[in-house]
Amino acid sequence: MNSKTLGSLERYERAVVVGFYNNFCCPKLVDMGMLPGAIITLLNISPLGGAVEICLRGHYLTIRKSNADKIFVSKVA
Amino acid sequence: MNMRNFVLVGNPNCGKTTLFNSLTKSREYVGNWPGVTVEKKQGILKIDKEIFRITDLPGIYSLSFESEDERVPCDFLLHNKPDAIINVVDATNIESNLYLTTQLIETGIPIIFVLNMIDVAEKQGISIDTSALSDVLGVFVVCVSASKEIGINDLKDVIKNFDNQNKNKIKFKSVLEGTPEFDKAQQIVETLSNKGVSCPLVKAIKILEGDKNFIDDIPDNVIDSLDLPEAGMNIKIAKHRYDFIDELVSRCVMRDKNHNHSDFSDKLDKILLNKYLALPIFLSVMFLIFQVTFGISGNFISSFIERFINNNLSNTINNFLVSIDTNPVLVDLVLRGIIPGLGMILTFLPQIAILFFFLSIFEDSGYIARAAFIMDKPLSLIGLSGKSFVPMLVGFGCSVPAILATRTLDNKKDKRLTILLAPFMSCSARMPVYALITSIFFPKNSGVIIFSLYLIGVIVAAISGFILNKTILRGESSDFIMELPQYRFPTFKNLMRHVYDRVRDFIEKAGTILLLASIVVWFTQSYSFDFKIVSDSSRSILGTLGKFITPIFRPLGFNNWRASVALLTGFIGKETVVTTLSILYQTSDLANKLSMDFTPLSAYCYMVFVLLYVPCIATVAVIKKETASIKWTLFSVVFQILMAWLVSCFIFQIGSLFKLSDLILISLILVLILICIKKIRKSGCCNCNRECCDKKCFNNNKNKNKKR
Repeated sequence: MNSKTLGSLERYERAVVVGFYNNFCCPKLVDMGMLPGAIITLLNISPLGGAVEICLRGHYLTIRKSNADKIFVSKVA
Repeated sequence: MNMRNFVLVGNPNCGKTTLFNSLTKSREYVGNWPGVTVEKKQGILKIDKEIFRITDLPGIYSLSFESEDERVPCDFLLHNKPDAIINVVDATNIESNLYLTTQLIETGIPIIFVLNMIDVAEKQGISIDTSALSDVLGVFVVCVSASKEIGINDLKDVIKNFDNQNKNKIKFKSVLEGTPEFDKAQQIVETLSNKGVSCPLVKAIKILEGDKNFIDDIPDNVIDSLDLPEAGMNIKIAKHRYDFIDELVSRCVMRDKNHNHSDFSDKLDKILLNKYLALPIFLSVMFLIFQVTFGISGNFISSFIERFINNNLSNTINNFLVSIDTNPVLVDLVLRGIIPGLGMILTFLPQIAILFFFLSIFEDSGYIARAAFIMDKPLSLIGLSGKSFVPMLVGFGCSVPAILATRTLDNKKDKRLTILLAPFMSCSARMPVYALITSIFFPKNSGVIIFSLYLIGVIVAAISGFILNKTILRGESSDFIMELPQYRFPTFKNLMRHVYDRVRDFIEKAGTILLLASIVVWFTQSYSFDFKIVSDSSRSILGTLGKFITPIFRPLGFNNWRASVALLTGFIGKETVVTTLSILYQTSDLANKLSMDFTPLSAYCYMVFVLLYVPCIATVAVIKKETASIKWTLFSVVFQILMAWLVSCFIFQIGSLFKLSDLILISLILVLILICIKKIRKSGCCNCNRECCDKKCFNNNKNKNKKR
């Protein structure tokens, strides 16, 4: 499977969520629509590192890079 | 009388409080970042002699909660049984806002669906078929723009006729109906309703999702009789909800492809969150604010008011009081107590107004959330997340709302640590002290000196955070999930309202607490313990007390009772330090007298002490309320006094060895060396040039070590 993690995306790269590390995702992110099949754009990387800004279903969110590394994505078909 | 209850529920930062303000004619605080409202607020809506109660609640994404502010709406909806929910939805982002709506439907409470910011949505080329939306969801749909007061009357009509219309048009219990998960939930519902649990459907689904807060809420014997949910169930349920939403949106919402919906925000973020520019921009914005506040405009206006009070007002009042034969003790109280005390404080009003003007721009534009995003990394080193930065920034205005703002934090450790650190952020009440002292001792570079004080506050907070995180408040930093709002141009009306509210608060404070403090200080400095008027104030009540505590401050360089006493009265509020000083020294030659008692270095240490010790009794009271523990409150008080003493002692002792200018140079060099060492260590950690906390590198190093 050609999958990467959300944390390894380039700026402004779009991808589709395929799964989670250990099949677990923080409930708050699930509530915001972080689900397999959701389309995600990585918008910004925090200037000091450690966090990324993503666009998920119209939410502009910040999440930690460590969380983003546990979300598997693949290229948008 | 039976008043009907309507409650505003919606995602964070969708404009609930703005709508609340225009419905109830209230003036609750609004801003452009998620988490402005942290507690429920109630108001009355009057329509043609009929009255309705409107409740405003903090924003939520779902009925699950982690932080205290999210708990409020969930508890309210499940226990207070309002007559109807006014579900406020951001029309520009309807897809994600509908998730909460699908859960609200399950409470069985009738819903009025309010599409807020409809004007912005139209501009962005979004058109919404409200009648289709209303048909499918079975709710009333109203389009409004709360900030522009568009559609408010339509909403009022719906509220007024709510009873006459079909009370509950919702045709289904849940959007999950027909899925296997819903059948499972139904089984739980049966068990729960047999045991008399309220709102069984919402709770059953939450239990099925594995939400710990709801599972813990149900008695153990009931839980044992249920099939425990399997992992990943929350993802399945959320998927069903979003499938429903996607279908609904594809039917009801049309987007004009030619409009890029957040062009402006994206472009601005490209600069403000740029890898290299972000930090310099952030720091220079802060520096500029202090320069403007304390440098040019602030001082000019302040000195004008000071001159007016000293020359014109004093004389006029003196003449007036003498002309009507007032008791000489009263004349003394007014001229040597109230006027120097309060007058001095009021001269700093312009500076406070200017500072709050800038802070409001921060809050209303949406930059405050970006600042949190930038500061997440440094905060994670002391076990906090970027979210904690918001209370701290609020703390530059006032420590009390800063401590209230910690309610948005996700766990107890984050909250406690932030409460302990936020008071180190220099609040506006400390400004008069800086402004007074720098104007006497550092007239040429007051902006830089004051900026350095703010910086010391931040550095001390960082160091204490580090120590506390390694000792009594251990723990991983929590997740940092925060929404970045779209940039909005701050409206003039809102800015003025914020500034006006703060200035009014300040004047109120001056007229009550500070007035009382001035009278007490005047009294205790003119009378001795046996209530006789003393000519030499060092033999008064205050003088005796001051001389008793002065030795404590000798290592910090200010060895005189007036300064010590001012710190003591400063517990009431930091402005009292200035009030006390100006009463004790008498204003006319305050500058000369102060420069006899202080050297520039000891004056600087004095300001550092004022910066770091307990902000005021109001803050202590709020800390007590928020931590709900006397132990933590006492700890915070002792900790702050200790830090204040240690840091100013350190600065004075080191500073006595060098000249102040040398000291600044030395500390700059030290910081540079530290940064260099850090860089060298980083690149030396592994072969790749990335941060050494990368897991891969860490593992590589481990393997290397093993091989050896």
